[in-house]
Amino acid sequence: MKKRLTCIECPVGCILDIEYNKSRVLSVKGNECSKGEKFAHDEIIDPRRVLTTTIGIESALFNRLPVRSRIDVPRDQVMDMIRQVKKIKAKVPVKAGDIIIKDFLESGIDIISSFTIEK
Amino acid sequence: MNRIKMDLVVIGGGPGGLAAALGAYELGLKKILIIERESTLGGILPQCIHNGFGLQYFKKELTGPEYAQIFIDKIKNTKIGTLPDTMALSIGRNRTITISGRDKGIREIEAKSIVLALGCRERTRGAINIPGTRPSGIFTAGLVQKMVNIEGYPPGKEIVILGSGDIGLIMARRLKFEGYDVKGVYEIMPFSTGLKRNIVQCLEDYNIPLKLSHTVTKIYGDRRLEAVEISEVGRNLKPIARKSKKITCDTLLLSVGLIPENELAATAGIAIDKYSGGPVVDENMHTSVDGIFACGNSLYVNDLVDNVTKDGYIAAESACAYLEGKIKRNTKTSVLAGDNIAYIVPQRISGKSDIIFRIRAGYPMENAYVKIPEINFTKKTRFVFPGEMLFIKVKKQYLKKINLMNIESIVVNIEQEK
Repeated sequence: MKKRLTCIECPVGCILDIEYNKSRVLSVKGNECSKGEKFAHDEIIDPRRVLTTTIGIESALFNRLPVRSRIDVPRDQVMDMIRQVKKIKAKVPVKAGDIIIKDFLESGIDIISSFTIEK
Repeated sequence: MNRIKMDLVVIGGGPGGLAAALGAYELGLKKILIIERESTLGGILPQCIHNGFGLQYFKKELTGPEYAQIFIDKIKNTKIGTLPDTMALSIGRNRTITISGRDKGIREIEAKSIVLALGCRERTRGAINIPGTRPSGIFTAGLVQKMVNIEGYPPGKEIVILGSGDIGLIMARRLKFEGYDVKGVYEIMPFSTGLKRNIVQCLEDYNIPLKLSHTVTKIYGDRRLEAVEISEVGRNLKPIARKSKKITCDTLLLSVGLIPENELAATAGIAIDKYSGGPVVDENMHTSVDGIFACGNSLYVNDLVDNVTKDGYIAAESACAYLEGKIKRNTKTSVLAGDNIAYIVPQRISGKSDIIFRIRAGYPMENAYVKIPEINFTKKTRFVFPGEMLFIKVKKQYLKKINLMNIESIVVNIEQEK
């Protein structure tokens, strides 16, 4: 099978021409660097994205705390996961990198704070 | 009146200003002060909660708040002074800055050098003259980003986005995440000025339609926005009357361009480039006023924060060199924007050192060449695109000719291969 995708690993945005079968990618053309090859493989077999959203926080300066998944999560689950994450509320002080939810939905992935809010 | 004396005052605590202050501190400068009108440092970054920042500068993918936090933490470990909740009102003679703060009222600062890192503003409905009524529900995209990501207020439920710049694309996805009905992104140009990766991961991932060569031609609604009229436009960008339709929505986001913020620069009498919207600078980021430097989005609107950081460090190095008497303003040769160039920075060069020209192309072009005929410079580039700033390095051996032949101006062009 053949597919044309835009690589999203960096702002260059190479157009990739990919040949693949059910279980693996056979060839990638059009990538300017090795990231393109990895992206093509992941995108065909198991597309993933970093989850970013906000949760509530009681702070003098902010009403929302930005959070992210430490590593990328399955693309098709992002919307569902965000709905779950939003139910959590954070308390000050919180530092960038602090774990907000450990092993989220038993995915092995931590949801961490993106920002330091001290008061 | 309480007068403060400083070696360097950085106006603006966003990524440009933070890099400028840190850069100067790392070079050994002692009395550095950052003035910031918001309560917190970081500028626009804390509201840009998505990932994609720092790929060039840190070689990893950070969110906006994470990128800002790295610099905020570094600043905290220094003796750099910060004045949050403080507005710089004007810059007078001898770099005297008048500031107004919540606690201490109006004060003056004498600065031996200044870095302007004032950021940019969003263009509004008035800038693009959309006809119709004037209901609530029409916002700039960055304002909605702040409402949703920091203040936690919902902007509305049925969203139409005009403009496919990166903020428009990012907000389309963000509002989808928040559970709103994002009806589509409309772009007047036949191409999107946003990064290709954002078209994929913000629109295509979530089946949000992108309509090129379309714009909003009418606003409906009394108190609250009720609908917009969308029209296809022709090659001349004028709407085609028979190709319009009404779309119900309660919220319209405008992502229709950014303008460098330079009202403060004007009070200092700094010359502004009408094309970039920022100060005219030389290769050291020196403006037309002695000892005042510029960086970040107030110099020109950047695509990537990584470049803002780099320019902040350049401004810092220049301010330090200026204070040591090592550099003067270069006014020798003007750099002019020629064919297919919307603007170019720096606009003045000495010809004594290598230069990196930052070039905003006017329209997309394949197999393009950057040419500077006066110095016989030609460089092939794969592809130029208005959404991606071109960085073209010109080595000083090319520039020597400027001094040898006393050339007053050079014209930079982007041309297609013949």
